[in-house]
Amino acid sequence: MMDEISESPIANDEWVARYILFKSWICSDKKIRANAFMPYPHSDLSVTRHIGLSEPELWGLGQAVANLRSLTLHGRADVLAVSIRKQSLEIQPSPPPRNHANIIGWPKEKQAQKVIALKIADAARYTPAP
Amino acid sequence: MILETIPSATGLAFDPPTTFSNAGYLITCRIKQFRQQTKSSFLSRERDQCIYDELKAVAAECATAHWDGYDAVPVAKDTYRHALLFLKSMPTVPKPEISAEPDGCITMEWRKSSRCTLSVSISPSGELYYAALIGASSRCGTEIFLGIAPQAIIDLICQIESL
Repeated sequence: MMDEISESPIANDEWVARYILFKSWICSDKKIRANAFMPYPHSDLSVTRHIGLSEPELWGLGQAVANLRSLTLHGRADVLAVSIRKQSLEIQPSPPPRNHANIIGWPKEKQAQKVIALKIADAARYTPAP
Repeated sequence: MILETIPSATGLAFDPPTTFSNAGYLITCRIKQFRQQTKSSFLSRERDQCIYDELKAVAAECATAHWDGYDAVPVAKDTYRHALLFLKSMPTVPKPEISAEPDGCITMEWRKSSRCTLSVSISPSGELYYAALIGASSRCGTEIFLGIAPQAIIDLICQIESL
């Protein structure tokens, strides 16, 4: 059942989370900087789907990412799938880990990636880590 | 004979002249102007040093591979040098937020809100990748930094600051 959700197609009204691992990604007005949404080193960007997860489970997955990289989990940036698709990008389920997904279809040019990252950051909602 | 209140040697506050001739008043105004210019240039130098220190700290913090706990490229000395020269080549502009990116670029961001933002990434070879969101419109491009801050970027900063 868990795997079925993780691999199911992502609806436009689904929320996905980008874990915030650097303080510099958070602005003083509690909005997110574009840097949080720049795809590197891969040509896609990792996010976690909210679907089927409780808040503690969602934070637990974020903490696992932070632990793996020996970083601090500062929070998460939540974005609706439709906000990502508006930028001509696609979100592809990609477990494991549970509920992992990739934002794909990025342009190759860095300046074009930056504009998209700015727009996604504008649409994102920041929640500090508990 | 010029009779006026002589400004104090230390204070920047200026008493208006109680008795004055036209020439005296003019001199008073010039002194006031000079003091204001001196003050603002001092503050500007202080501010600049603060930005340079911040840039140095970011570059030092991200100077080793995998600084992001993953596959980050270190911020190279050349990147730092280009970023420093880029800042120094700017006219007086507001202080940007400085950070590093996992591809080894240094980012400078001028921001009033998420819909009023300019982000410039500086690469080790001196490319300036910029993108801006200003209201409903967006702009992006690439410039090669040749020691002079590109006008396109200065114009975007001014546009953001004027809003």
